[in-house]
Amino acid sequence: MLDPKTNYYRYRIFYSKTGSSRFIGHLDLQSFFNKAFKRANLPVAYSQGFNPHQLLSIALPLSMGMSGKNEIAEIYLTLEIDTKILVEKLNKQMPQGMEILNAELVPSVGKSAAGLVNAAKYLIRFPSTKFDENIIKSLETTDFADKIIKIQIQDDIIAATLYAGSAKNLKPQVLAQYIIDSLNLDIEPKDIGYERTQILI
Amino acid sequence: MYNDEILLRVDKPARYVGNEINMMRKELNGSQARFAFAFPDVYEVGMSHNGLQILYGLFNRRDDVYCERVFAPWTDMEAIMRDKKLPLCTLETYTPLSNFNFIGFTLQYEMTYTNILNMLDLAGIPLHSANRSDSHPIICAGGPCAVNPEPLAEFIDFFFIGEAEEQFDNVFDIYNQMKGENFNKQAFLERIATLDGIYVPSFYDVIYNENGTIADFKPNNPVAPAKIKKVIVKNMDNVYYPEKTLVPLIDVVHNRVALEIFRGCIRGCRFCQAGFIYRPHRIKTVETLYNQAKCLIQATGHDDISLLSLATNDYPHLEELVDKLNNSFADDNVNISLPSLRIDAANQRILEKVQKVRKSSLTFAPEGGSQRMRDIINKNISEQDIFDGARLAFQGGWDRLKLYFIIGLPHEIDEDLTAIGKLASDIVEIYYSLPKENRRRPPGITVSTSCFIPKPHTPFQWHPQHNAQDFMDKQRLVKSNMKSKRASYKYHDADTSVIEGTLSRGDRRIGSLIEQAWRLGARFDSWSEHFNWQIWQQAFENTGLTLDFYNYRNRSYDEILPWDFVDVYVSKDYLIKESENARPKN
Repeated sequence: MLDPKTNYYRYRIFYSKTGSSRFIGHLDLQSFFNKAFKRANLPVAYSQGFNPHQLLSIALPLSMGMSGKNEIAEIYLTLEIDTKILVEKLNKQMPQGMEILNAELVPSVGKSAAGLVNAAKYLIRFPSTKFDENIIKSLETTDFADKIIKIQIQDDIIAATLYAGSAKNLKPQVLAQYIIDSLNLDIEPKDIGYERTQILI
Repeated sequence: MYNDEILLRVDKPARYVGNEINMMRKELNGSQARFAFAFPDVYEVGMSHNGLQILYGLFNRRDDVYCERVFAPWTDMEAIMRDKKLPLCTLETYTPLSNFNFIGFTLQYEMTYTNILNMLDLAGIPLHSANRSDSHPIICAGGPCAVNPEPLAEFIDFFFIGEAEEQFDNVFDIYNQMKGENFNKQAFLERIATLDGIYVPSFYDVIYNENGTIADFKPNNPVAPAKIKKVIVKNMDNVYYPEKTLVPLIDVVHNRVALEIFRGCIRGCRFCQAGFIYRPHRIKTVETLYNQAKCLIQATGHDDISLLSLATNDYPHLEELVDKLNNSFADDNVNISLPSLRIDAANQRILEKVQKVRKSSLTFAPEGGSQRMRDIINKNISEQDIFDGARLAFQGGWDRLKLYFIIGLPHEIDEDLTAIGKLASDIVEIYYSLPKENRRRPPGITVSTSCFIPKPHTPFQWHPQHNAQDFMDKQRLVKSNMKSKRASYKYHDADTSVIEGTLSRGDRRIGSLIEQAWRLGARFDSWSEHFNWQIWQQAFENTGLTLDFYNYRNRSYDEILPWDFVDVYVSKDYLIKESENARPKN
């Protein structure tokens, strides 16, 4: 059977999720987008079957409390729409902390952004800590060294590009915990600030 | 906003950040009356409450009022707030409650009363009205439990009894005339005390007999009326209804468009307080409901419309309404749900229309296990009606049924309880009597019992309530007669029901019990994980108040009941007549 998606238009939407919107969990975010698309009167495509749902997919769940500066979601529409108008309409439906940055039309068949995710960039802020280059060296010998693509330090911030695909992935929290343990830092994991600056596909 | 140090340490931080869709943002210009709508339960419960949505919109439609929200912080948040000495704040502007002109508590169920005291305390506001000055917020309360306001009389400056849509504008008008540097709370309360539905407890004295019953209840202020008349909306089509409602950013108990199809109830079930206090029966037209649904679907993006009322069956144009909603919204993938719809021949078609695919479980509420008991409580439904309904449900493809009963009702005998299991077995039999092609899988019948709580303004308000041991014996009797393997039994905690009974029919002295229980640590008493019987037992001991007096004794018809001064438009004579009619004939 022909995939009905071929008749639809797939839009990749880039958005930021910061401030109090950081506390919307992944499942709640889906239902948040479902409602936002409806309020924006967009011609959203639904799945076939008994319990139709919007053809929406969100790439790489963002942990509760983490900021996302350039997150990705995909939605199928039944009609083609100017991406500028799409962004405009959606931004009218966003609460504080959520902003649609950009949208692009992508081929309607093929892997979703969620399936294409390869890596993600993070800024990890440790309260009142100053790192030196030794910490980067010590990471090279860990058993997750191959999951780190790039790492830099800047005062109390660690900028890391980590694999985030299905085959190979590393959560920034795991990295942070390792650093706390190896440097014997007096920091509670909950006081570490995380920001995901980009998802790489 | 609370900072991350706090928010990342609590469960569901979104409870405390606001920012929902359609949240009201107003520029504070110093001239608005600031009202904190306080829901004394957790965020997800409060945000599911339609009354909050109505009042939030009603109050905020005025430029000279800013209504914000506050919910009871969950225990993890409370611990942090107390540790760091953070005051309780509203979600809209993170303003401490003590800076508001009004704090209005909604009284949806009695087991939230300790949370009210806890919220006042977390706000740094003295609990007792008598200890508050003109600069403290005015503490008010309303909602169904306000039909017996006395247990909270010491803590609340004024109660509003009835439906706010018709009266609250007057309260704000008077406040805005009188506010300012020289605001005098006493003078304000005297002005509003003359309005229908407003009860100012400090304007009344209660005198007790030696046996503890009330000898007299009378005004001590010339402006205070002897009786407080419930305020009702006369025309449901003209009354305010929000055009947009708050849409939470996290999952809550009910996340949907709520359409209130009517108020009041035409049934006269004698145990049911809602059936008496919301009278008379007033419907909205299909046209009004359709327009409201259209507006709300657009403003919220919800995919579910729920028709709310005390008994959906009694809406006279149900099929027309369901058709109209279905025709208009089904293409937009909007579902219509009909909670509290009883299946019968007349509405089977309607149910088919709204639940085309997903057949969730259906609920029946016979309330009484035997015909004898259903007659006592005036539940006008026969065993045949129940069986017919079950058969229709099974034929329609539903194979999960929930049956609700009440145990410990007045005049109950063991046979009324053993009949519950028999009824469940008979319903299972009906399932197996259907042709095989109608039976996809074994049926599931869930029987639930709640413990009877005599409520004010009902014909059973004079009856004693059973003690927890009796209730547990009754639960055992029901369980041991639950013979079918396809029927399971769930029951409501007896201890909680006993305390609810005390608070429901309490007088002013019960305020000290609530305060004691709160001081001993009672919070979220409606949550089984938090309810603590020992605390309440200790509170009874410390205050010298007794369950014998409040729960277990028979009240006589000529006793002055604490709530007699509240006129809900159901006369005491009528209630006495109904109480007598309930007596078994033999």
